[in-house]
Amino acid sequence: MNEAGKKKNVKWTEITPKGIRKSPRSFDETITLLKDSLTRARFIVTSEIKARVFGKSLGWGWLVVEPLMMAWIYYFISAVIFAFRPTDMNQFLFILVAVMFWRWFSKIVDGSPNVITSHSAALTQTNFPVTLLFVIFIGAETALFCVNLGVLAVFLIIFQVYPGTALVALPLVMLSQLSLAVMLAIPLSVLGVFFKDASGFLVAITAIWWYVSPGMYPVELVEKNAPNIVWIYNLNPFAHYLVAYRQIFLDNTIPSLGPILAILVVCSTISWLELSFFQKARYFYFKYL
Amino acid sequence: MSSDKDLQAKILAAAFQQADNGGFVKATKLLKSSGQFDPLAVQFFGSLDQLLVNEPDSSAMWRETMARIAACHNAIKLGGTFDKADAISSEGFRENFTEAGPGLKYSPRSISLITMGDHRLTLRSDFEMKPCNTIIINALLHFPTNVMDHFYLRAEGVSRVDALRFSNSGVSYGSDESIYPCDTSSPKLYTMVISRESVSVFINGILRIRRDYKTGRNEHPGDIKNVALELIGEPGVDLEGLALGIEVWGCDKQVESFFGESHSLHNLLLSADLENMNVDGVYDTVTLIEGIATDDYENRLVALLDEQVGKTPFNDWICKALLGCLTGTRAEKWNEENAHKIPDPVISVENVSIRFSRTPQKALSIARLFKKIDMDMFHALTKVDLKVYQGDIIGIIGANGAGKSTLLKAMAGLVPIKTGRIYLEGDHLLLSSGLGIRDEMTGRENIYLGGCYMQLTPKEIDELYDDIVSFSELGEAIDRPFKYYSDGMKTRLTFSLATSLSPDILMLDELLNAGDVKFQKKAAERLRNLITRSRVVVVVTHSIHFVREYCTKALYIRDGEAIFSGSPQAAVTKYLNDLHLPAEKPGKDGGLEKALSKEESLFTP
Repeated sequence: MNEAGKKKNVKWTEITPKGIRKSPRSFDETITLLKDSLTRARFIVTSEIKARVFGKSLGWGWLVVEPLMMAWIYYFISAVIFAFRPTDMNQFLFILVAVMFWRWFSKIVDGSPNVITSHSAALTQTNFPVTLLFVIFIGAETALFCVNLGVLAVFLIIFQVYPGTALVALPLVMLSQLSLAVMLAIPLSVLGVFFKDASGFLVAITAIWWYVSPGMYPVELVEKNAPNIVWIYNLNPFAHYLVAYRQIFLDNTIPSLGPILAILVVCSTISWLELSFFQKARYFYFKYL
Repeated sequence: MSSDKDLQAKILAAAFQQADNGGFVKATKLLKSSGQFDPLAVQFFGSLDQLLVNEPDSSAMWRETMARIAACHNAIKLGGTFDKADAISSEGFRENFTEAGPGLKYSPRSISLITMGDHRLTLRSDFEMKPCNTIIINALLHFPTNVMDHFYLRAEGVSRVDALRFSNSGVSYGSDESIYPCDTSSPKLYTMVISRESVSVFINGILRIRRDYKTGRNEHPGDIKNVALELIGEPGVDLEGLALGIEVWGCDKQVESFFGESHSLHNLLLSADLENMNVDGVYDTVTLIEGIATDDYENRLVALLDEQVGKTPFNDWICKALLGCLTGTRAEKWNEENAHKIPDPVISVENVSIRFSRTPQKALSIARLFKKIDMDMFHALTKVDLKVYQGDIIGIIGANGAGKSTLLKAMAGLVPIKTGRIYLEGDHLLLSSGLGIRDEMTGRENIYLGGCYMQLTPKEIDELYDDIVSFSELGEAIDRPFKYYSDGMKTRLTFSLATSLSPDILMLDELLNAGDVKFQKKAAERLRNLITRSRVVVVVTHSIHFVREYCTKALYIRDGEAIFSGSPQAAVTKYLNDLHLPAEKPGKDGGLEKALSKEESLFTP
């Protein structure tokens, strides 16, 4: 045992079958590392987005075209299929608000099984932190979602729906939804290392989840038609999120924050535990990459 | 050491040097003045000199000299090419040897073995080789053009082949890692004396390598059935080796020093090297000539060891070899007294084994779980030990799939180990091609992206940017998407990026094949400069040239086992032995492992 190397001011790494131990970092070093990691993450997120628009004729414009096309589809559904009258155009926004926020969630969850495998080269060749990889993945999806949010804002203005002070509750609801997405994405990304077909299953599961969430219909419909299962229905976080978004954007009312806060606390705690565990476990499961 | 002996040693060294370079007349004069050589040996030098310059009657003189030497040992000639009126003549090869493979060219005085691609050319003796206790093979060979390390003189025994391998810069004994550096471009007489107990290799009549079969390091090849010359072709390279003559003698006695007693001469040289603290000379003598007596020089060996301990990089293999020359108690005492002076390794790999599944993607497949099929596991690394010291550039070599990159990744903490321990002192960074680089982005953007994956911040990359671009020689192409780069451009950029950093421990995985020959030279130079900034560089490579030229240490891995660790030249030799002499089974190295473990126990406090 080379204990001499473990003296102060010498960085060391010890690798054994039990895992990896490193010389402890000072508080200042930890803060610097955190700052540097965030700077790196920001840069890589930008690169990820650039890569997505590479070679597309519309270039950066594609990022706007995609949510516009999606909005057009829902406009078509509401105006043509369901034949809502122009006075009922709130129905279109009712769906659009839900879809925009749901897609942010579903893209994170559906894409999570590929997070580790698609970065396997970097992860198996460098000590790039898995935690930072999640930050980058979620950061990229969130950046794209922000573009969608801009498109939503344009539609709100077109339909003369102007959100008010209720917007202050929006960050909390979004944070709660993000914590739920992160909590699910972490284990799913590890699952994706072992089950290459996880991604296929997930798309089906999230599709079902969308239809059991009040995205295309009001939650009151469930309370009216199936009052006995409402309590089960309310276990679905999106029964709260989607209602909250609509209240904020369309009704300008502060939603009930109790359930949302509860979800935030539970999911954040579980996410933190998951990240700590999987960062340590990385050493053992990366050989399957 | 008395001044007389010192003078004698210097004269001998000069004489040996002259003989090595074909200056037999001068060598003869020097030997006569030293008073150390017997008249027969002097006659041998003279006749060899005349034979090589093809003077009149040289053949008769050569035959007479050899007959006199053979008579001393009751040796009889078993066959060869020197029996013609003109001793050096290709006719002897026509009559006594059979070729296998294309590329043999007959000239009046020599035959050329030529390969122009990936094929083998063998010239094997036809004459009968009756069983003898000692076989003496004299081969007059010449390598004026490129032969790489691919020319062999083979003594094909019943149980195995003993061989000498020739390169343009040295001769190595094909059964272990020993290599004697010399200029082979001038014609030389190479002699293998294979007795039941040992094999001795003479160059122009001077003992250069000796191996004892009894130590278990190499086995006796059994009765020699054939003698052969072999040239192993290399794809895309033209190789040529010339043979002027071969003859084989046999005798029933155990003969070691066919050309006269050599050990006392080497002892004299060893003594002089020790006196002058010439560690390379001492190391070559004690490792190449096994069995050389060192009992009288223990104090000087200890002084040399003391000097080695303070050197950077610390050459542990030289210390192990020197310690192996001391008696057990003296070595233990030295270990006890100097354990604290031995530098701590920057990287220490201790008894590391790694197991992998051949089909990791099926680890949790339903089919496997239901059918309860065992995971197809294999040992990627088995009990690997390695110590790397400050200032080392260590090259890890081996065939594809040997476990080189796995070891590197294990050192970087990217692959779990099953047993053992790895300890690294300092920051470390593993770099390989790819490294998070995205095809869709430009070279410029990829420098920043790759840098981020290498734990750099964009600001830090700003400072390195100009150096990276200028070294990669990409010019305006730096703003083109990476996917449109040629493979050479891609590797150049990755290499430039990788070597712009200076972590304490830099690990490079197959990054040395960057670009053309000019860039490779530049890359090797940059890597050498890097060591002034990094404490240790670990390089996984297939470039034998790089390992020989730039590494201070090398590790040869075969099938997950560390076969040899130490001198880069020796590691390459060992690797080439395995590539070209596949008949040798891995188990034969058991002796080497035993020998190394013995040295380890002496060396480890």
